[in-house]
Amino acid sequence: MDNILLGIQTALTPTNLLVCLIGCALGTAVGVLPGIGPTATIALLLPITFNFDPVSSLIMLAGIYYGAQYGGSTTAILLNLPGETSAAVTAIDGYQMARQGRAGQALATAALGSFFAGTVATVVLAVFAPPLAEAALKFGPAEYFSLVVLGLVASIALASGSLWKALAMIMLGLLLGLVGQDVESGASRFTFGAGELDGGLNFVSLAVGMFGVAEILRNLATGIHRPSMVREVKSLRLSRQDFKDMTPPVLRGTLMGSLLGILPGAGHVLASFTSYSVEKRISKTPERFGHGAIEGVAAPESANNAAAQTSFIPLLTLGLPANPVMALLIGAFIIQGITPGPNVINDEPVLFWGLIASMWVGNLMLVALNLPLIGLWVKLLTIPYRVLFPAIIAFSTIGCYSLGLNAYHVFAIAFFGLLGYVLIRFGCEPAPLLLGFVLGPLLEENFRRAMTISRGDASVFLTRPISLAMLIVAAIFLVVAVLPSIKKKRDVVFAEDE
Amino acid sequence: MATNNGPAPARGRDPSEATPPGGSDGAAHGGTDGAADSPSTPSRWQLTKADFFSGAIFVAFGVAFAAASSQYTVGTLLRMGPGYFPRLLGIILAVMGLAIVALAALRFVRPRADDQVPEDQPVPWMRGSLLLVAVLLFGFIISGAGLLPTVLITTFIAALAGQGTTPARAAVIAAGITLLCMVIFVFLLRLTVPLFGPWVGG
Repeated sequence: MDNILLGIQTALTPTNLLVCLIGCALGTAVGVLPGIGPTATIALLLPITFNFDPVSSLIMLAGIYYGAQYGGSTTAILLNLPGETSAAVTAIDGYQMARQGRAGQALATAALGSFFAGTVATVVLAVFAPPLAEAALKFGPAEYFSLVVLGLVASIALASGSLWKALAMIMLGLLLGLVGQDVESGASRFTFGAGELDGGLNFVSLAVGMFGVAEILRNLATGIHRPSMVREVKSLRLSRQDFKDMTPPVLRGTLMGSLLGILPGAGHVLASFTSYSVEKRISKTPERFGHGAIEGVAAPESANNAAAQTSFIPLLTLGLPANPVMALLIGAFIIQGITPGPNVINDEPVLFWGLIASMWVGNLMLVALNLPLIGLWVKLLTIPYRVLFPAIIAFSTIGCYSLGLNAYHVFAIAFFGLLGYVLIRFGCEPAPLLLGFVLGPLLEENFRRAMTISRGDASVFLTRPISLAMLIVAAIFLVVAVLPSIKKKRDVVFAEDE
Repeated sequence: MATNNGPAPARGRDPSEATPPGGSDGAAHGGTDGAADSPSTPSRWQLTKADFFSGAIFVAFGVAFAAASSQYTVGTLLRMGPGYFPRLLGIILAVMGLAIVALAALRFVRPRADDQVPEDQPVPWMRGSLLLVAVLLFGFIISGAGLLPTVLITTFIAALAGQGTTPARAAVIAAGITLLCMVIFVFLLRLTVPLFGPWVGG
């Protein structure tokens, strides 16, 4: 109870309220804009947040993250243009509602459903994170190594495309993560003698390059689709019948989202897709789905938002990122001098509880902010792409350079932009590479420590029960992922959550 | 293999195609829909190209990392040197790359029924190069020219990459973005990079 009070106190300081508001507004704006997804956004805005203290900067980053979710569903409903993958489901019935003149009702349903789900998921986070962290504190290096392996494997088991390619992308990411000075021996690895690379390749450059610049390169060839017509928002008021129709789907969506969000990989994408198909299956009138069923908006929106919230659980308790955005947050933690993992709750109670409380505050802000400002967000869509992409380039270069005033961070953007473009062109998703990159040093450190403790006996990963259990689960994930029946479902769940 | 699912399939795609993963009829979302609406039958090479090249890239990176690791002390499992872990990962990556190439070769010989046509868009050689040159140039001149000239020049070059952007229009875009960046980074965020570097008398 004291902890929750501490969190609320932290979240309600004027500075933190302001950064939360800025984060939510920026996130919504970018969620609305097509051509730039949440991963690239957070990477672009990371350098800015480093100007604040750790608590405020993480509150801002979290605000950007769930703001982007909101923005994505707004354009999904009004324009049939999902700003990110998890909003693709919302577009199906949301846009149909908008065509029938019920755009306001769809937006209100999405906002209220998301707010309810966000509230519940925040409670879930507050209740389940501490015991999980407690358990993780007992892990030795061998368990940690297996846990990271499990996290990496699980993240691609749910993703789309070739499993081999995704595994190879993880390996490449792990290797790129090892560039720089070796912590134990002090040797500079793979730096080509450039002292500027001793600190390693910068994850901001990697994310900006692979998710920002590579995406621009793709769009230069194809152009970007522009919506022609925005549906008018008449009234936001929901009727009594609407409330009756949306309540059960919201509850079910929240439950599913909270559970699936914890899974590594595209948890919140999976959550919105699953909850939609569940609603359709159990509905007495499934034929209404796809033609403006309010349930088809309520369920995926709540599931998506609940999952976005609970995906913080593995990050805050185990130091494992559930998706590329969380991988970026790990990097943000480290730059702020905090090692994400089970120690955060005890060592940084202000940060942990403040962040949780601010999530709830942020969700409230989004409801208050977004519904009245719909017109403003839609205006953002009129910014032409030929103006938008040079601005993205300017922001990325200045932002990355400002991190340590190191020109190599800027060169790395071009390198990763080109590499990302080529790899995406050949059917490789960049998300596993980013996860591998962030976890590479952690994996190596625990591997070495486990070997030192076991006196060079590699079987230690199989003889310690917890470690063995996690490796078995990882193996099951891999086997299941290559089974044909599951593979079809995997193709539906896209790896990239933009 | 869903090679035609870009990293962000939902965005910018024709909305009517955004089929829901309907529960009971979910099977319809398998692999055939992509091939069905393609006008011509894809050549075998088109089908395997993406796998072949990505595999080759992985082999190249794996071999390069494994080879470079030999410069550092490798050591034993008990006393691991800085070269041990990267060499191990490099070898695994190279083997995986070989496997991907081998699978691609198998598909070349015997294409599968559910094969999809990978999206094959033209490569924006000229405009893409302008974009990357802009980024690299930023790194080269920032310390000498200072923030203001660097942002102005690099944004101008980047803006030229836009479809149908004339030099005059690029100049206007660059000026606007530079102004915006100065307000955000210098005025609001108090970035410590000098506005004008030694090359321009700063």
